[in-house]
Amino acid sequence: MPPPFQNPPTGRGQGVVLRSDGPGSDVPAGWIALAGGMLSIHEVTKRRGSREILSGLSFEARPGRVTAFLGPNGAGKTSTLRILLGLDTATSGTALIDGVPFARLADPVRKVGAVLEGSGAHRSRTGRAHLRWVAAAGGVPRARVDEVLELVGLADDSRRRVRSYSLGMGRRLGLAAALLGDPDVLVLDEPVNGLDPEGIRWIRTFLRDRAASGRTVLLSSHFLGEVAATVDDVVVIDRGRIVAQGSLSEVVGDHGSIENAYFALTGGAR
Amino acid sequence: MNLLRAELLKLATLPAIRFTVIGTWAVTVLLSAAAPDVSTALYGPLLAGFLILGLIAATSEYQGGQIRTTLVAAPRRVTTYVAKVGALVVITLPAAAVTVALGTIVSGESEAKAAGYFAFTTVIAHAVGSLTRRTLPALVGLLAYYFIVGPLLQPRVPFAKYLLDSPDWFVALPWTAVATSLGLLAFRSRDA
Repeated sequence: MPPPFQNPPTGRGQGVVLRSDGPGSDVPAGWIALAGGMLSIHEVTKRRGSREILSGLSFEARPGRVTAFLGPNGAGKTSTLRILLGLDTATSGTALIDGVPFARLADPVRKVGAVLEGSGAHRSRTGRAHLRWVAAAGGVPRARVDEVLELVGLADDSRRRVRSYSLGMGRRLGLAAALLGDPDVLVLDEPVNGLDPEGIRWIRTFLRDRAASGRTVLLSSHFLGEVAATVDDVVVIDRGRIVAQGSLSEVVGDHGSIENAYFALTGGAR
Repeated sequence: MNLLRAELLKLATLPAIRFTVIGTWAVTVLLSAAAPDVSTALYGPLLAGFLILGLIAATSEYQGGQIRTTLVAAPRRVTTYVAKVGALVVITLPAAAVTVALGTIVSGESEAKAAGYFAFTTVIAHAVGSLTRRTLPALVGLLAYYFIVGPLLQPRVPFAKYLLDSPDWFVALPWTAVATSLGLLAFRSRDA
């Protein structure tokens, strides 16, 4: 499923916004205005105590592409995403969004939406109340709360408390919060976890549409079947090191399938 | 302003905050009606209500992974922390004023100074909650200090009036500033 547009040229740490309509534009036909943000992880190392959990990680996630971050549990996927989002500090190295660290983004809610483990909401608040404070923090109009509730299919349950939500509903609420600012970049940790088959299919289509509109999608996963059907680029991490990266076909290479490639690269079933 | 509004919405929509404030008011009415010595009643159990208020405001952030949502939406940590303390003060001042007013109406004796004491204590409890991130250890520590260690020290040590639980504003203000600064430093630098 190739994206219906060409990839933009990428420079390390540079934001990419192309216009094909401006006067004197020398952008070839077929290039489209890209809303996406460039994610650049450069030589990131993270130590906790004496344990090195990430060792010199470098990769990029580009606008208009769905990039999958693959690896066994404990390989360092979540730690990397947390550093990218400014939740954790890297021991060394940089993680940049359009060339700036997360904490210095001018408008974080409209630049990046993130869904990490769980709902990210307090259990005793209602889903709607949760989204309302996130919208307030980002300066997003209140009407947008109803839009995202509708979008993720939680409109009828928005006045229930989060503690009564199923795992899948919690994930949908997390996604709704991430979409409040209609951000250029989506970062998702194990997005299909806890979703039913219908939800998985929905999110797959949804993420493809985000990329098709020129936005950036970075997701971590260990569901290899899903990955093959959804993503453009793949980064494989094992024990804190990157063992392969490139387009899906490059990483699959001679292995025949992403599953075979994955087990060959991560040292097989352990 | 956006962040202050977000933090106010958080406090206003958390049931535990409402229960604590309303519960404190109910206890005020009961004690003021029953106790012969109003000032003892005001400074005793009611203080626990405000300790819990400040504590929950801080530690609820660490329940359900909400802190991640907060920091992804508002990654400038110093600003975010200042907004948190600001929002807490905005709801604590009226809550404390109503507490004192209820006590005055029911008992006929005025203890206006208590409102400031309650507000300072709430902000100190918030700082402690920000440092521990967990409700129970912080609650045990705060209650042990304010209800056991503090009262034991008061008549025994010469510097008693400079202790954390002093109702004197000139003492309470610097303590509150120090505690809040420590909370801010931890919030700014720790992995979320």
